[in-house]
Amino acid sequence: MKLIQRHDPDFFKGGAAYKTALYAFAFSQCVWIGVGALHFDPVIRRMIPGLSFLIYVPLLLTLFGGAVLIGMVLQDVLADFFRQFHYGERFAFLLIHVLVFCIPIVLFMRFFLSFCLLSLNLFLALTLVNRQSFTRLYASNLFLMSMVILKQPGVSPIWILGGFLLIASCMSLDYFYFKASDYGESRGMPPIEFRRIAFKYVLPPVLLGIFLFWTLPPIFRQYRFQGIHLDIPASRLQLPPKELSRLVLNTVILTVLFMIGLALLYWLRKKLKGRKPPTVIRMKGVMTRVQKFVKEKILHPKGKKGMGPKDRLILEYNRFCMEMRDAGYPRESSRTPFEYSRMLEAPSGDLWETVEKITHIFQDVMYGNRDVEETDVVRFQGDVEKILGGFVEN
Amino acid sequence: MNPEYRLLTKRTILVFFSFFNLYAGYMVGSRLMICFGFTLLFLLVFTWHAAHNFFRDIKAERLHYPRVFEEEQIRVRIRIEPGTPIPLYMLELTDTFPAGDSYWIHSLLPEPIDSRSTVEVEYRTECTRHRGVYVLGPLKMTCSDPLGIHRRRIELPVITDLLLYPTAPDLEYFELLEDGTLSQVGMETLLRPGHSEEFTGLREFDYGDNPRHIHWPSSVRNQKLLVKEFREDITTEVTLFLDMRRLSLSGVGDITSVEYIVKAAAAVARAAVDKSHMVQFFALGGNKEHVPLGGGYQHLITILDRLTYLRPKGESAFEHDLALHIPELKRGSTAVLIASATSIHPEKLSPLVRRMRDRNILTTVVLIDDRSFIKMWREQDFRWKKALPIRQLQEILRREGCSLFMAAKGDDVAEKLQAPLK
Repeated sequence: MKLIQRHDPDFFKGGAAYKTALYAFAFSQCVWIGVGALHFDPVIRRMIPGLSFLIYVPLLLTLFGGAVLIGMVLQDVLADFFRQFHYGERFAFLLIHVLVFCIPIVLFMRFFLSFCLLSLNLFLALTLVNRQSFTRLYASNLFLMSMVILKQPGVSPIWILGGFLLIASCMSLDYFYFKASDYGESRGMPPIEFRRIAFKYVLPPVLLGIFLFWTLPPIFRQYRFQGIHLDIPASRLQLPPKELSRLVLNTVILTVLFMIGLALLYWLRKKLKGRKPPTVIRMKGVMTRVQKFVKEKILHPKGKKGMGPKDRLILEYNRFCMEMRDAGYPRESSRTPFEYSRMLEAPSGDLWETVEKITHIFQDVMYGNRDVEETDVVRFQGDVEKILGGFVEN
Repeated sequence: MNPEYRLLTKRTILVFFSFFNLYAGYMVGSRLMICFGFTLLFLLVFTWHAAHNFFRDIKAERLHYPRVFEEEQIRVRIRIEPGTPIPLYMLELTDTFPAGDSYWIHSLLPEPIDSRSTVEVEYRTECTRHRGVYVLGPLKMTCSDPLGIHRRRIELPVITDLLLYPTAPDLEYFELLEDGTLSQVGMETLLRPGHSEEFTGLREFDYGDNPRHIHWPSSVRNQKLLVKEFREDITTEVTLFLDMRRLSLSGVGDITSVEYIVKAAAAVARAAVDKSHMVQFFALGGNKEHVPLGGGYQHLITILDRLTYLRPKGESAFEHDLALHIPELKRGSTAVLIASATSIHPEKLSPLVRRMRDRNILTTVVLIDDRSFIKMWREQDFRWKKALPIRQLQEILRREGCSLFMAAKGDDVAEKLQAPLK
């Protein structure tokens, strides 16, 4: 199978190498969020007072740089390796995630969520081989960001904005990269297209978020009616670590329940929207008879009602034929009325003339479009009775 | 794992963290967290809106030749016109092509397309399936928003028919058919002055003769009516009899005895048309298909068209049906019988062959050894045991003066038709 695509060559001039850009953005995202987490997390700063900016920035750069580089270089080998996993091995891989997550707990004998997520990030960066690994990385980084915002009232909005933009860019790049690699497509998109995507899809949510940030009044009653101010720490509760942990747990449980509810609603909608034939209500017993009566007698009545003299005359001739059949003179369907009349052996000349007469009338009415009055029908009926009487007597 | 049932997707994590941030932000009164939650939610909504409108008023059409021969390549073009100005990024197309090896043809459009652009995707694929009518379509399209959050898929009812003709191989050395006496039969009208026949002589007028052919000077001279006689140019006729009964079908899938019969018929018809003969065919069996005599490539197309639709059906004996059509054959013509070997009953066929020989009809038999295929029906078990061995059958037919050809499973029919059995 050979696939050829036609398009305007001027419109499409090749583009950036998705892979390099994707891994570069993944690296920047991990470092940016990691640095922010270490810088803003009050718990870490309290527990490790000597951990300064000059120590952790180069450390994170080196660690994440190395991990992402390994993930990038060994992507094909690792992807093949992971693809061969069966269910047991997949579960073992999940356990490795958990073990890596717990390394900081073993080292410090304390639970530092930010540290745990950072170590997990490092492991994820090392195994960035398929789109699932990237999704895990986004989840971990978003969790890290949410935790830091929750714990630190004075976190910089620039850091949040930067983190969000990096995650969104990475999402976009991984979509393009993995789609193209699925089809072995070497052509890319011009960078201007990415700028368009950013303006169309990423910038509006960011602007709306900033707008909300500037306009949203303080949540709690005691802080309201004090005007819009940017004194963020002053307008929120300062929870002790224990309360905070409980809140996080509660929120996670509630969120999971909310998502299950959403999933159920989605499933229900899909089920209800399925292609079903319209419901037919079958009526039983009396109702069926009533329905039949209404349909046959009122809506679509049949029978003598509405029949004109012409129809009645034809019916009379048919009755004549049927009576004659019973008397031993059947009329075959191939016989014309005149052939039939000649076939009948009339007992007398008078009767013969009457037969000829009714046959003439029938022919004229049936095929000649002759107008018939009520009196004609009555006369016709009389003639038919006369003939039938004559034949039956004989 | 099926991507449809994957829990950890971009959409799930965005829903999770937007709700998480909104709830936790509200609980602690963090405006920043609420805004972050809303930002994630807005991202979800914007991308959902785009994905929801991707395929609005989208138009697609498939263009291809309506007919193609088996094992030939076909070029299929799919033209797409999006109906919305929202660009479609990385649009995946899946076309249904049942006539080829790969039932689904996948392709990707790496460039963004919107209502201002019309894109044409073209693929060439080999029609590897056997003859018949194939319905191409529907056309499936899958696309996501440029962040890959919401995936949308539609199925467009772009349905077209493809008529897959049986292969009609070129038989260079099909020696039984000599060149016809009139060239270009059925292909062009010969415009020549006067009569196209050659004058041979005069004879006495007979009742029913065309008065225009009376030669008046000679009639006056001889005192009796004389008419001109012309030599009649005739075109030889080739009649194909195909065994299309239910029990002549053996084998499964694309490799069946009936396919071999049809292929042989197509090859002989082509050879006959190439050599300017008039051709007709009868499908014996339940179908009773008949293509009347005709010549030229247009007629060949008609024959192939009918061969495409032939299906084995019916129970009547091959010889019985053949006997009904023998009186319709012209003297001096050629009859080509193409049948499964176990369908032939020599004791019934021999008198028919003799009848044809008496009328100077040249009989050619193409035997398809159906016993080399997989058995299809239970009744064949008995029939195959009862049938004569192929060698014996060949011997009898040769004795009756038939020209013989034979093909079995795996043979190249065209090759076998060029090498008569001695």
